[in-house]
Amino acid sequence: MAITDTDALLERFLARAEKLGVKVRRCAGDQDTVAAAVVEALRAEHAKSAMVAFDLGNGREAIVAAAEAAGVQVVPGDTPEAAEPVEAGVTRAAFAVAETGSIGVVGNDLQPRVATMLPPVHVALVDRATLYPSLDEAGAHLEEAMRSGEGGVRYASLVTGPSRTADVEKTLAVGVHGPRVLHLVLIEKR
Amino acid sequence: MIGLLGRAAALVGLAAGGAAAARAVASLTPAERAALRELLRAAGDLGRSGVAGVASRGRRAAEAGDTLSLARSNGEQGRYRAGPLAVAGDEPISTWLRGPHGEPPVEQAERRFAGAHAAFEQRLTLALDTEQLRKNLLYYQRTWRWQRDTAVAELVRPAGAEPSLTLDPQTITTEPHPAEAPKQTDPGHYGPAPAFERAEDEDFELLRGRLARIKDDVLVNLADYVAEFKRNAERNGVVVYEARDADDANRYVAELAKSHGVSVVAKSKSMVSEEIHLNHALDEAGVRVVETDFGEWIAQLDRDRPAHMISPIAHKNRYEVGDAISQATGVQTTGEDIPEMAQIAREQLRKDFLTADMGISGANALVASNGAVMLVTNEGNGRLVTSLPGLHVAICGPEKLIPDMAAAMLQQRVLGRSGTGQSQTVYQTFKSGPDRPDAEMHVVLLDNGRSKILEDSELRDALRCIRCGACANVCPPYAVVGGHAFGYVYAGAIGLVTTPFHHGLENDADAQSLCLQCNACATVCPVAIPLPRQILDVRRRVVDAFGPRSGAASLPPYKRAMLAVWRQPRLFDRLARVGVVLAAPFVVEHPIHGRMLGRLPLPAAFAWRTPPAPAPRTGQDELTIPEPSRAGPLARSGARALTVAYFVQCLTDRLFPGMAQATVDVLAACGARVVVPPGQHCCGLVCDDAGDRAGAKALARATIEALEKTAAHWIVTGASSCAIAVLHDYPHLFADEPMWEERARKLAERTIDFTSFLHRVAALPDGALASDNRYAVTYHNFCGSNNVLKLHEEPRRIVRDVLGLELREMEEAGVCCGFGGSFSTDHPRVSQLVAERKLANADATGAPILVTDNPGCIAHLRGAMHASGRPTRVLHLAELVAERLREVGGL
Repeated sequence: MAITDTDALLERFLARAEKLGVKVRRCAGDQDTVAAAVVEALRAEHAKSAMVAFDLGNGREAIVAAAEAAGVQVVPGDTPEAAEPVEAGVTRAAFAVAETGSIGVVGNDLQPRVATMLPPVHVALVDRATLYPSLDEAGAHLEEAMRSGEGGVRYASLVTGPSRTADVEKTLAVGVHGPRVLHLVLIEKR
Repeated sequence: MIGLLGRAAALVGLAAGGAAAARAVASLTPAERAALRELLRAAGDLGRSGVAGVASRGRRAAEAGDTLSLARSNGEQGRYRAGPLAVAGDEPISTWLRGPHGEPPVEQAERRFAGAHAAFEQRLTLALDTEQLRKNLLYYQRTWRWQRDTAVAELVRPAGAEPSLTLDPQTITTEPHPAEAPKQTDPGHYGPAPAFERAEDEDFELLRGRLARIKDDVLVNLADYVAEFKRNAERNGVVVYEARDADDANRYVAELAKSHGVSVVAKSKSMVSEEIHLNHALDEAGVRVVETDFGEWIAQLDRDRPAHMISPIAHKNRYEVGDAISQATGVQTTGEDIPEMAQIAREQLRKDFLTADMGISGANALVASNGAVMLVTNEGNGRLVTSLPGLHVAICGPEKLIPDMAAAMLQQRVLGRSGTGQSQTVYQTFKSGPDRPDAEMHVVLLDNGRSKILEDSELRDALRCIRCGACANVCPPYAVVGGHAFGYVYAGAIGLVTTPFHHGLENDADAQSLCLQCNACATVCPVAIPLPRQILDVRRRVVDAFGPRSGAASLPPYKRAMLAVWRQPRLFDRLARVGVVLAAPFVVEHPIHGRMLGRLPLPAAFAWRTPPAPAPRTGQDELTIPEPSRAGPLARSGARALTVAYFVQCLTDRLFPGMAQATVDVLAACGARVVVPPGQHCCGLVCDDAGDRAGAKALARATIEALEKTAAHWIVTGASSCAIAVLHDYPHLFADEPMWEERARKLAERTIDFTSFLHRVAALPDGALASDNRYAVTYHNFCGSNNVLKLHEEPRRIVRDVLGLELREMEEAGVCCGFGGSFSTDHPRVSQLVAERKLANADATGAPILVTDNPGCIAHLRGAMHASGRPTRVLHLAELVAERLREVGGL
């Protein structure tokens, strides 16, 4: 499925994300600048510990190294119990949606998913090339990714801003059961 | 209205001046006298019982003990909590043992109805006695309205406002993906949206229409969709269980818990689990259930029930929530700081998420194409309970099926906006099977009466519901009494339709009376369910099942007596004329509000509204029909040379002949030749609203016969409610009588409300009646005009531009005034509180005149203005135009 990447779409995505309180850092695609952006986000939240998704790919080592160099303890968090005390999770998003300012968290593995759920800080990497215009394209992506039977992914979420509730007096409170803050590192080109 | 008339007459017997009354009564035939006696007795009882009677009956019911709910929800004094669901002491009956409308076996009807009735009255009284409750609810509704309208406005926002929203058509991917291949039997029924009819290029109306058609296709082919979902889900390793009723589902989940050695369940929000009292069943099985949605958690801590599908504790304010947390957890909080309370919830529930052996969720949708469950949450608890425990059970009704992920995204666009006023909910999660080798996933598809709704051609559309709660958020009585008074878990309009099938017709019978028929719910429903019409269909079934024949008497005696008279035009006319004589001693001529029954001593529950006095001569008796104007300021209107038949309407005829005269004066001033077809009585709305379908049909037939003979181009009425009856209710009323349906359709082609006539047919030009005297008026949209006829700008243009007056907009101009016909007599306190919302909004404008276009609102608001000593004049648009015409010399 073709993905359209225009300045208008990006502007749209950024406007949405900003409205939701998502903190976006844009950076070029090399591993060092991505790692630097992640560390900057962790520092901004004064995170002392972080778990980095196992499925992050090539840049994972650079991020772990940069985080540790910055004094952030990196732990595997490979069980929910181990993940619970961790202050931040660093993961990669499968895609982003301009219409809603959402990111796609797709995959069966628990460790990367837990990194988006339990820690109070979530830092997600997202490639600009995966920016979909609308929920329709995201739906098409997931229709394929989550096909039934062999090879289909069983778990996917669109994540749109930090965890929130307005159950009391319709007044916003963030960070109920999920992250209280969502940082995005938008990777322009790889 | 006749009820009030009746009370006047009852009192007159004790008053002086009885000679005229005696003469009038003596002129009646014995049968007429009997009907009058019945009416007076019922009206007298109504006056004596009032609300105090309701309260004491409720207390007696409570003392009689109840099932499940009372002990669990009202254990402590102090903070408001939900009242009882049932007091009869009867075990619930499975939906399978009930009739096609959810009615109990005939031999149990009377007893069960009486028990349910007592519980309803107790819940209602409890709610009405809690002033804080309605403050919380009104705040909730207003905030939701603003947030929802803002989110919905994005869908039609023009390019100028946020230029980045405009996508360049050339650069957008538009090819439909394979999942969009339509599955419906009728090609073209729905399909992939055309290229640029996507995202914000579709407004709310288009989106909800498209989603409604998709859901209809699912419902028509439900067995196929269930099979497809099962096939795909099972291929993914999901165990799908089809439960036929609450017991069946509860047993399945409890046994699953037992066989897996579960001791703690972490649960995200599920309305279906509330529907079947799953927590109770698991509790009895020795399993601890922890609600993890913040609102549900508070409700659980407070031993309360959720009162709203989306916002379970919309009825509590922050201090009440703080109290509940402090008492139940020992962590002290004042409640002032809402984020602090959210943080407490986070800390308190962490342990449960991590140690729970089983996660239970609902489902916002079931995706047939891949067997996925869609879960929509904001807090993140839904993802935790479906990820951390190895055993996950999702429970929902099969009506949540949608064809594919494209439909899921379409649903999401309207669900978030309608539920919480969000363009997109924070977490939209899809889970299509166990995500790791040692995990299990079960989906329980619950019937519990749903297949009866599916088979019910009148009510099937209700299964489109996506549980957003919008219908409760715009419901004026809901703002006063909240969800608990309605009763069961699906509070608000949708619950009035579906609850009988899940919990029994008797358990939702009284709640039907909480609907004002204002139609606000129909305007915001994201799947366009015809809720107001369906509620009338349910009312009819209530009357059929618990009417006089069953001995259960679901209709209050005053209403039965009133309908008996209303259904017979001649009897109505005779008694109404006697009523004028009986009421005479109580009439005052008020300088602002006109002829009122100002001397009538009303019972306390009704004293907030002075009834209008019946007119000595009816509109039909004394109308003066002017010649069509040839030279006046409106004479060159689009209505010139047209013949217009005036459809007077019963209330206007008997109470407001001046309003009738103003209407014909304006029509003639517009150059129309006015005729008044003889033999007019009532359109039947009074009966239809009360669930009396036979009476409604009889009066509708008589109305059609009286009006269809006229050769007029248009049939105009000043009563928008009755125009709506002809235009929108008759087709449904005569759905099974094609001949009458056709006659009704023909009549409808020519029938039009006064406001639309002035705007659309007469097309009065701006400034036609302008003068230097620009006094201020405020406009109240009659709810039917606002929500059914969709008249918003039209009357405003007339007031502001044609008449040249200063229009001062009131807040919530389209929210119902609380009249609702007999609603205001059934529920005087609720009606009063709804009216007070309207009066406060009108007061805030400072305008000395309130204008609207329906005589019901006028009787109601004039009465409330008079009784509260307010000087605001309440006028029909026709009266305002006629006054302006006189002022500028056009009359």
